[in-house]
Amino acid sequence: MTGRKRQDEFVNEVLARTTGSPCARARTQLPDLVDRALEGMDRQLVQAHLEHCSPCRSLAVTLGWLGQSLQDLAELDPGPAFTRRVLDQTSGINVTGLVHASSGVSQAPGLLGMLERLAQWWERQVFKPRFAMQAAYAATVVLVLLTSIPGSPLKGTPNRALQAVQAGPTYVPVIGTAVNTGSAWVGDQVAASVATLRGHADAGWNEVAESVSTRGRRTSSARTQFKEQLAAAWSGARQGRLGQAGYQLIQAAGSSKQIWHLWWIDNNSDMDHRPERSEP
Amino acid sequence: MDQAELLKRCQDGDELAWEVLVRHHQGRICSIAYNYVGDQDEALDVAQDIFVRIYNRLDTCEDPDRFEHWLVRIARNACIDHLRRRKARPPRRDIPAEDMVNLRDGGPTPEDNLISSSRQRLVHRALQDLSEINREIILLKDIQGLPLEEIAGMLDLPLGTVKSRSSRARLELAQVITDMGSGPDRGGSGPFGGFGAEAAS
Repeated sequence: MTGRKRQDEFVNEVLARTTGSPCARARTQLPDLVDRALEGMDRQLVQAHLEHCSPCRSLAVTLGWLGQSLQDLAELDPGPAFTRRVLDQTSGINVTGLVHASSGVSQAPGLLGMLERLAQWWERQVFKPRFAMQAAYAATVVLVLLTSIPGSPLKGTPNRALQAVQAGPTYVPVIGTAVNTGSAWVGDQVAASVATLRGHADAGWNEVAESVSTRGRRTSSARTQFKEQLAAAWSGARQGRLGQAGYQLIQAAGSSKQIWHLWWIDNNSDMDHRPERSEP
Repeated sequence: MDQAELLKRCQDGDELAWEVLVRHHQGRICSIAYNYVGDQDEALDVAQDIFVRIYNRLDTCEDPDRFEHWLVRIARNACIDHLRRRKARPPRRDIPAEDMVNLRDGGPTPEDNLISSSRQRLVHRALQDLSEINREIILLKDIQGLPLEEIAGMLDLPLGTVKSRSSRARLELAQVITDMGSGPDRGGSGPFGGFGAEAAS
């Protein structure tokens, strides 16, 4: 055993029985030592420790070259094709003239811009962990609105359903007949109830059927267009023409929006002759 | 080239100025994406998305002197968004453990293509062993060279916390590297080369 090693071991034993290892304290000061931010006595003490402590010295060595290595990671060469791909992606926005130069945040206006924002929003939403619960909540709200707001085709449905449930077995003809034979008064009441309910149901159904029929006529053209655009998108995708497929999908999204619009707008005959949306 | 003029031209829709700006900053953006995402192909896709995001928000950068900080902030947000989406997305498919052995052919890994130096590769791998916050502080301060004030604002942490964490993070990284074998060439100038030799002396 060399004299130096023996001395180190002796010091370590003394430290172990007194203050403990000074390595932890030395290591907290190593970054400052490497950054040349440690001066005076502190610097000398840490340097003296490093002289006798191999693990801390290794750490100091690593810290010494680490700074430059980290700086070297600041830029990585993505290859020559990268710039072209970025320019292709962004020039698409420019060519169609969809960038607002003075609006604060540049956004594509009109239908395409709205679809783009809608797609981004949807993408953000669909990956949220609680998406299913939120969607169920939203669907419940929509259902409540559809069955309660004035003018809604489904308004009154819950009441009619409740009446049907409360009428109970009278809705079943066999039981209704049995009740009739048992009591003329009850039979009259049952018949009247059934007639009333049927009247309500027929009126409600006719109203819904007429509404659906009107809306179907109104959206016929847009639905045809929607189907054609989907077919074109599918065809383009199968032939590997992704640009065309994407364009057709955007168009189809526009048509679906139009279908939705035409379906729910409640102004009647003038909508039947409304001109189709022109292509951008 | 004057940064303010370049930015102004980009904001006015000058395609040539935009090309110069992309070329000038693509290395940095790719580095940020790679250090967050950890996969080369994914990082390049994310970097493209970052540039599209930058392009769409050019008008929101009002101070050309702080353009690079603004750039890093957008890149960071985009990477975090991407990681959140990736976390929420289920894996595409499971690879049996025995097949994973066959996947390694001894050739260069994807990160080997993006990072040329073996020492950089070592540092990059060691970075993956750090905690998320420490890795982020090293990325922003030591790799991208952002001032501590900017980082504190970005991470929403007190300045003192960022400062102390910065030193600890670098020390932790050095410890991980030392544990991994102290690097391929142990500093490049001998076993105690570089500043360590000076420090040790």
